[in-house]
Amino acid sequence: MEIILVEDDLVTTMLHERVVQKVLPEAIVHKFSDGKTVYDFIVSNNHPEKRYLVLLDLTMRIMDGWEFLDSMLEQDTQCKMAVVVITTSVDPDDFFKSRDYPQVFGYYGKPFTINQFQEVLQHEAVINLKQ
Amino acid sequence: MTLTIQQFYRIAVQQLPELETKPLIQHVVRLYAEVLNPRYAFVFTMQGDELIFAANKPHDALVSEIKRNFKASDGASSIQIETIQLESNYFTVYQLDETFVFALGFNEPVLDEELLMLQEVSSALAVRMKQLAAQTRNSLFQQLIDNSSDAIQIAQSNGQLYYINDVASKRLGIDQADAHKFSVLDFQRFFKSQAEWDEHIKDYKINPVKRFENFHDNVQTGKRTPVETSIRYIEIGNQGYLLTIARDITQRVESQNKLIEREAHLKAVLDSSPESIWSVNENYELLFANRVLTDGFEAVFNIKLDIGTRMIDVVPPEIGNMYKERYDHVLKNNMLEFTESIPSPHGTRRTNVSMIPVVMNDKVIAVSVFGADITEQEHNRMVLRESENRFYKMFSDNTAAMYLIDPETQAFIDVNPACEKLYGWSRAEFLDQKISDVNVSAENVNWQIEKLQEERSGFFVCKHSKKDGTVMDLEISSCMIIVDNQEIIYEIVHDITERNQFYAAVSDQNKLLKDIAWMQSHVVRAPLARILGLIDLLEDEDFKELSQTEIVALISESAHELDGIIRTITNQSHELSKKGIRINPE
Repeated sequence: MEIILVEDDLVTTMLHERVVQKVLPEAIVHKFSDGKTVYDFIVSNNHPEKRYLVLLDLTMRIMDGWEFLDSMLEQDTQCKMAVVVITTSVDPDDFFKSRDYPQVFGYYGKPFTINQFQEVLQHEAVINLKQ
Repeated sequence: MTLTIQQFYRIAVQQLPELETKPLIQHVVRLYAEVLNPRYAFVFTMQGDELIFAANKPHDALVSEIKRNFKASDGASSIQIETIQLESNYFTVYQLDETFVFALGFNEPVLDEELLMLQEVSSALAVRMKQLAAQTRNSLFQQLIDNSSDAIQIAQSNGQLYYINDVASKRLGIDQADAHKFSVLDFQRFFKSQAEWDEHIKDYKINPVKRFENFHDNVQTGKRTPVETSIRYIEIGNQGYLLTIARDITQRVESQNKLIEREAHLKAVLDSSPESIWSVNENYELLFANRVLTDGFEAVFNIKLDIGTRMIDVVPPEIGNMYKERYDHVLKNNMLEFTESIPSPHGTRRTNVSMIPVVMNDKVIAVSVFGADITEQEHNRMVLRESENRFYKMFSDNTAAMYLIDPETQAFIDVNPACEKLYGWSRAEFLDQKISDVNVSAENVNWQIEKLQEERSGFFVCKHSKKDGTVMDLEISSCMIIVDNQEIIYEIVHDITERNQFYAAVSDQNKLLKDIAWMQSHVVRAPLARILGLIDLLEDEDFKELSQTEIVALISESAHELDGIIRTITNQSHELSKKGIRINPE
């Protein structure tokens, strides 16, 4: 399972990467600052044996989190992928909207903490992803 | 065998009573021939203009001579004897009466005593002939009575039947042979008692001939036959007789009844008509009036109309004179129609009156009049006009702009003043235009009209241009109305330009508010979240990638960022209130 961090704020990316390293020191972490680059990465690495846990920020300039999720829905994905939304938004509309996407199984406000990441790893969607 | 005149006389007179007409004549001729041979013997009878004769020998000259000389006698009282001489024969011609002649021919003049004898034989013959004629007459009368299609009966003055013919027998149910056992009272139930009859019969002694209609009742079945009866009373000796001929008038009565029934139906129909119907003859006398008119006259003039009432006299003189002129006009074979107030059971009503001449054998014999009550109609027309006015006012005085369009040509048919005010065109200018001329999206006009024709009403939002070129946003309520069988589109327009501008402003405001909310949720929390994360990092002793100083610098940077964002939001809010836009337009 590879970890994908999608976050346009450098400091926040650093903080999230630190959280991931604390819990999974050996994990492969890919970092992207907008939806478009991560979309391109997944499309070009779209193999059935690939397993991605995506920590997705919503507010980004080039392609935001929603647009990324929409694009992935249209994409015939061979790889397995689970998405956790990590956002500064406390807007309930965003939370309810995220639940409409089948890939999204978690929704967390920033700052994202070690405890929260451990909780994510315990989630059924992630356990399924590893199999 | 040769008989002497004396012998002939004895035989002839003795035998005569037993013989009937034809054998009698033949017998006489034979006797003459035998007795007086070889002389001629002829017997003639005249029946009408036809001469029938029997002769021992033909003698054409004699026949034509007798025919020529034969003249109607003035009665049977005397026998005329003429002697004529033809072809050296002597003929003695006896004319007994207007129908009977006989002649004897000799080859020498008859001797006086012979003549006397012949005269006696002829007289006896004549008497016998008359008896035979009377018998014939009686038999004919009997035939006539028996074969009559009318019932013939003879009764004595006390009512007892004396004779009835076959028809009477069948009609009355009385056997001819038993006639004498019945009385007139048995089948003529009009008379309740013998006394009544006796009283009735007295009158016949004064007026012996009567003719009337009554009924005959069959004494067995009770079947009643209407009859027309002719009665003659005669007295023979001291006995009075009623000779009665009774004709069955069932059919006539039935057809009369049918006629009466038909008249009654016709009258009922005319009476039930809501029209006033009457007719007058050339003397303006009422021939017929239905209930509407008679009741109307009673209600309005308190006059009871009867057949024969002079219609021009029962109304006030000025009306009478006016109607006299009208009747006279129609009596000259013209039709006439006019509207007039005439009486009805509900008072005087406005009426369309038609007067029509009644023509028989090319002559106007009467005027028939039909009056149709149009009061209601006139009232309705007035109400309709009022309601039209009212609705037109709703159109003309309405502050909402309204117009009418012809769906075929799309041309304006009418616009109200509010419409002129809204668009800036005068009514005349509008009527020169089509709806597609004012609709900015003229291509929409066709489908809007089609939709209206299909759904009968609709609601559209579109843009129309004003005279000055300004474009208005409009809400249009449309419906299809039918005026004089023609479809017309009726539209009410509401200028929603301002409302749309207001909505646009509100929408801007909403966007701003949304931006603020978005910033609060995303932008404001971004540096905040970062600060919280960095503080966690300060406490992470294993973290070597950044020094504590570097982390604090990042925290400080984020704090300043946060400060900047909050200032921006404050400025935006200020901008909103400066625009004066409030969500509630109050």
